[in-house]
Amino acid sequence: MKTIRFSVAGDNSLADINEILTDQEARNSEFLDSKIAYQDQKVVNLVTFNLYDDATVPKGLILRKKGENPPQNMTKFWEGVMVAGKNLIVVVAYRAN
Amino acid sequence: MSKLMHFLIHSHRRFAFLGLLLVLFLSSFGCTLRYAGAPPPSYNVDRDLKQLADHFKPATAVSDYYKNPTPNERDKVISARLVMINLEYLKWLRKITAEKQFLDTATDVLIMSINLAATAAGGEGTKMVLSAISAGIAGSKASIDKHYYYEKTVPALIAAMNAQRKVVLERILIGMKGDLEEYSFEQALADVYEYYQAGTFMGAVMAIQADSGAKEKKADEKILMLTKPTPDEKEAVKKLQPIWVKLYEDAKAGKLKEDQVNILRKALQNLKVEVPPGDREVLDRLHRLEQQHEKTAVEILKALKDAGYRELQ
Repeated sequence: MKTIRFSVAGDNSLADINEILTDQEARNSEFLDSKIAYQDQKVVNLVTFNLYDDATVPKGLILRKKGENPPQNMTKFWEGVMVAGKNLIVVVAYRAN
Repeated sequence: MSKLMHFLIHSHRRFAFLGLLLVLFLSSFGCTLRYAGAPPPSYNVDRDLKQLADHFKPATAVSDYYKNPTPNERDKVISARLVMINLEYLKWLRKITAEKQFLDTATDVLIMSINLAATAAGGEGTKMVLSAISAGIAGSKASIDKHYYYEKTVPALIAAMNAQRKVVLERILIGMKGDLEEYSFEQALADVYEYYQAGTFMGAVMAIQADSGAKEKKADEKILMLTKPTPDEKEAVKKLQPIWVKLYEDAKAGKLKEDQVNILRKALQNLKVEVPPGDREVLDRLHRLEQQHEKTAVEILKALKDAGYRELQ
């Protein structure tokens, strides 16, 4: 298992960020958390993943704005600030049970 | 206050001491007023600050040093600049605190803070991004958990600023003990600029990132930006998954065949990637190329196909 960090631009919508993270998880990786950071003079989301040493794909991942109804049959595993659509928002990450 | 001024005027080395005092003062002042509340000071802080600024500002000119390049002149310019920076930092923190009393929500504090950060930030690009975010926040207050920002983000930034300023100040104070060969004027100026940067939200974010990242990454790590996958890339990822499943199952069971590994080796060669010696290492290297986006899934799929991977023929 190896940990790696990528950045995700803050002008992506939350849905787009969800898709980007899901794509990375399809590459046998597991999203862990995100932090706000600056990269090349832009505010970005610095996302951390575990890279599996095999072909494991984590269960489904959904990001929601804090305060929205949580998805059914999913468990919250992370909450933090992200930049999405150029707005700072509090995001909750859920994992399928 | 006049005694303090007299004390300072007679020894420029003491300017640095004032800087240190101000830092210590800020640490308690900023935190106390902003987060725990405090009675108003019994003296006119603004007036005192202005008097100090009027006194120290003329001594900050770089040209003063070059007229007479000695360690004393270096220290005079540098320490005066430190004081000016500290004064502005103090005024800045006070502004945040004072305005907070008139703000209805912590979201407004955040908007103001980001605007302040935009002012402090050096690059035009950063200013634009921060301003855009600020505008975005103003337009979507309902979606923001106000307490989250106020309680977690802003105090963390101020704590980081104070800590980082202390680190840089210590370096400057140690440097000022040396002669010009040990601590050049130009190096001192660069350190003073770093000291200023440490007292900005931007600097604080960088310090937090550097601190948290230092343990887990090399200083020169290049962080790749992920983008929305194209339909072709998504399809390739989908097609690669059963291949990884099969290969890792075989590897786990010790059934990775020589011809399979040779195909993987050839695929790595096709991708112009160095081929490691061990069989399992070959598989892991190819797999990591996709995970770490060193090559696209489309490229890896093609390389495997060209190398003769049976299920792709």
